[in-house]
Amino acid sequence: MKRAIIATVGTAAGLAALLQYKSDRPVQGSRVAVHPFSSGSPAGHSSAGASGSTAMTGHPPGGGAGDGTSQQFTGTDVVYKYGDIQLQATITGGKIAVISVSRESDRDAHSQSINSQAIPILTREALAAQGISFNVVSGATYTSDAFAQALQSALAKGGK
Amino acid sequence: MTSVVHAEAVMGTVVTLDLRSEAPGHHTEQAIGRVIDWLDWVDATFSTYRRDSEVNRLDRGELRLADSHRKVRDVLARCEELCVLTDGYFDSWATGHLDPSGFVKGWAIERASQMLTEAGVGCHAINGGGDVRVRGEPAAGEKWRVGITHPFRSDTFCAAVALRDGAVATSGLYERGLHVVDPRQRRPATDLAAATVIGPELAMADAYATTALAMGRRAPDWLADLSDHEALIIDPIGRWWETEGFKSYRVHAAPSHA
Repeated sequence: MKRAIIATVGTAAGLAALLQYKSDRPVQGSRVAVHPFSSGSPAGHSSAGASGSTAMTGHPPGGGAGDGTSQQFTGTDVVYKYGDIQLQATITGGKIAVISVSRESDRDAHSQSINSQAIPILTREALAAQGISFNVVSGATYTSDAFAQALQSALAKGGK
Repeated sequence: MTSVVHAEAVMGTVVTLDLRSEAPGHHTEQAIGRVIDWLDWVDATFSTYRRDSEVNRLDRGELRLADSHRKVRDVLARCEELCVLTDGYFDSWATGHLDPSGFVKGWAIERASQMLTEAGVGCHAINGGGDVRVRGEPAAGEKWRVGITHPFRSDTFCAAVALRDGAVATSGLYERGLHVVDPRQRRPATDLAAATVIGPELAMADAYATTALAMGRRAPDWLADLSDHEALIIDPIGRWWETEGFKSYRVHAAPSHA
């Protein structure tokens, strides 16, 4: 069974995010934890679902949040049921400013319609997790698992 | 108010927990862990994708109902009630095989929300693949703002609602395509593109959203008669209809016509 965990810890004042991921598939090793945003992350707020495995931790280049610089990270291709996706995360001042789908390939027409619907929804939800938009999005998110992998991959590059 | 967000791939989707509290700590992590354990158990027991789940063993006649877990019997009894309540449109045998998924996800998340409340995290939102349960306030004096994904223009929302305690379930074609079967016609339901139901708790809101999609053109009359539930439905050419009370949840303008 594949399993993805994304944990974000944020405060009203600023944002500190922790993104964790583990998978039976050797995508980025069996389990990776990345701290793409370093500022003000309260200790001990990592996700509980991750217990029992060893975490690798990365730190953001250039000192992390609040410095106003913008950096772009592109993840590796993630193959899922309906094609491949590759995400690009732009991190400005320690926040995910833009997540864009930098590549998606499709196996058939059905996948095309699924991808064109699914990915923008999921992208927006990832941004929403930082309080940019809604608190919650109602409407199915079938390809979230692949999305989580692709996002993790993009952010992992920011953490190295 | 601090937010701890945890997303977990479970039950064939991603479940996101957003816990709000003044001082999150060990108890918050423990609560998340217990919720994930619960959802894993539900998945292992009720999944139609796992050959050895109790539901699949019941379907194949390898397990007698009397020998199944108490919660499995409870869920199947609730599904039977729903079948009666919905004039046969909510049918866990619609595909020819036992599939209570239309009830199980909402029911499992509802229980997860209770678990978080019992653990002292009374302010939270749980999103199970687009079906949402919220409690308390995301911040002092605020309501949870829930965006409802547009059924065919996925870069936009078709509506936005705000609430403190309650559930917002959306059933639609979306990514999963034609997954709701009209049990009467024994074919995929295609009259509606999406149905969103707001109610006091997620088990019923989720089941009613699925029911509305299966009902198609009959859905407005049926939804209008439900007590304690409000609904918005959209058909495949973009026409929409809402119950009178749905308006009171809206935070933005009405959805535009496609």
